[in-house]
Amino acid sequence: MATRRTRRSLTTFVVLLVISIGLLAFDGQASSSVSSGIKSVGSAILSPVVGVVDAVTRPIGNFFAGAINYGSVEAENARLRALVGQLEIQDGTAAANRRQLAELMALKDLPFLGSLTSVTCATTSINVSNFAATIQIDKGSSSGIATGMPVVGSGGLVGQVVDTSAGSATVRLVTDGQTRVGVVFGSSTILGIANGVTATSPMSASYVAPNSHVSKGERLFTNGLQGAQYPPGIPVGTVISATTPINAPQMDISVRPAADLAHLGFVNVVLWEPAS
Amino acid sequence: MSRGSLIRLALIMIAVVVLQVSIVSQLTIFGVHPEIVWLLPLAAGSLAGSEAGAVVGFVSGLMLDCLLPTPFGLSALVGASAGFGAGLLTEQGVLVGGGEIWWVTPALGGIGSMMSVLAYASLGWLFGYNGFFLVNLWIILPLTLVVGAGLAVPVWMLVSWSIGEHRPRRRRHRKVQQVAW
Repeated sequence: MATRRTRRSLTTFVVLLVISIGLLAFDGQASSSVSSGIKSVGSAILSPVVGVVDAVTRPIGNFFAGAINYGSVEAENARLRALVGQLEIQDGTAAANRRQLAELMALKDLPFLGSLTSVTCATTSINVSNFAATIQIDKGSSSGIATGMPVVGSGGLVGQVVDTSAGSATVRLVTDGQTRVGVVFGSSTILGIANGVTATSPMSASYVAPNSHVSKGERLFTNGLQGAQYPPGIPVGTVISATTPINAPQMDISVRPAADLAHLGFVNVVLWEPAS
Repeated sequence: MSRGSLIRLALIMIAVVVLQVSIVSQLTIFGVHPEIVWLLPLAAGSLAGSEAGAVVGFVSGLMLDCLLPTPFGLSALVGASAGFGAGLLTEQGVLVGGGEIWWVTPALGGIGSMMSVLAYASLGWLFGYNGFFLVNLWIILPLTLVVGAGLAVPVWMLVSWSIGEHRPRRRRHRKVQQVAW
């Protein structure tokens, strides 16, 4: 009897394992309509519940987060007070700078978006999983947002839309381990791939030939080559170190993201879809 | 299991998954948060047997997969394995029931949750998600251990209430037999 029961348990377990591995194997593939269908239905059912609970519990979460991170909040306050002091001193010169900036903006508009249109969205949550660097935004397919669209913030590229529902979307940040962005270094013709690592680590750049003229402080932009996932000219990051290890087939390059990923209250989704 | 038990269990699964994605994901320390969802299959496995544990783990993992931008099916795989493992250990008499020795339930909840997170990172790496081992596992693992141990008793009570009278058959005196052998 016990053997029959154990055998049944084992059979159930093996069946569930096979289904899970099947879903994993086909995840992200264009042919996987089954897994994307299950995910869409599940998300459509559960997301509204999460939204309601999130709205109700966010103040509680913020309270606990504040209590847990009290030391860092205090340090942040001190840093902000110092910054306010500096800004007050710079206020006089800032007025002149603002006039200059307004003139420049009138001439060039938003420099890296050019003629591309965008939708401004508010961020509703950040990093819901420990294993993915993502944000959720408050607009989705009903606002014209589709999977694959680039997302920009202050400074440059923030990420790419990877999932949408009618009223919300998930954005994979440039620092996520799955992110790959085709880039060009500064005004040169050196091309490479910027890779995310983790939410808390700098990005890296690969496929750059050894001893190329890449130096610290150089900026990276999306290259917009044929079939690229992003339009050209969006700032991606700044080189923080570039070396060529002995006998290495490529340079070892670390990149700091151009966008301020620590402060993503609002982002712009660029209404541009990559060529399929 | 009766229809009432299944409904109660389904509601608890939805509640825990929603809590994980909403409030628990906001309780960050050094940018990471604890993972409480693995307590469900562990509790179901140890209270209702390996088959129930595997099914509860699979379903709750699949719910989580629907809400997270992570590989689809990975949470289901880890959940099913955690539930089956906890159930098998209980059925084989390796784990004495949580009601008999006070620290068994917190220990199983904490260590089991931590092992599940480790399995998640390892399987993710195995499936080509290389960044999974580069996240702050050294914070996530102890955080999950502590929170899992702390929440184990209430989760066990909830799952026990939901499954009602259903209990797994345990092989008793297994340890004595092993010692003699």
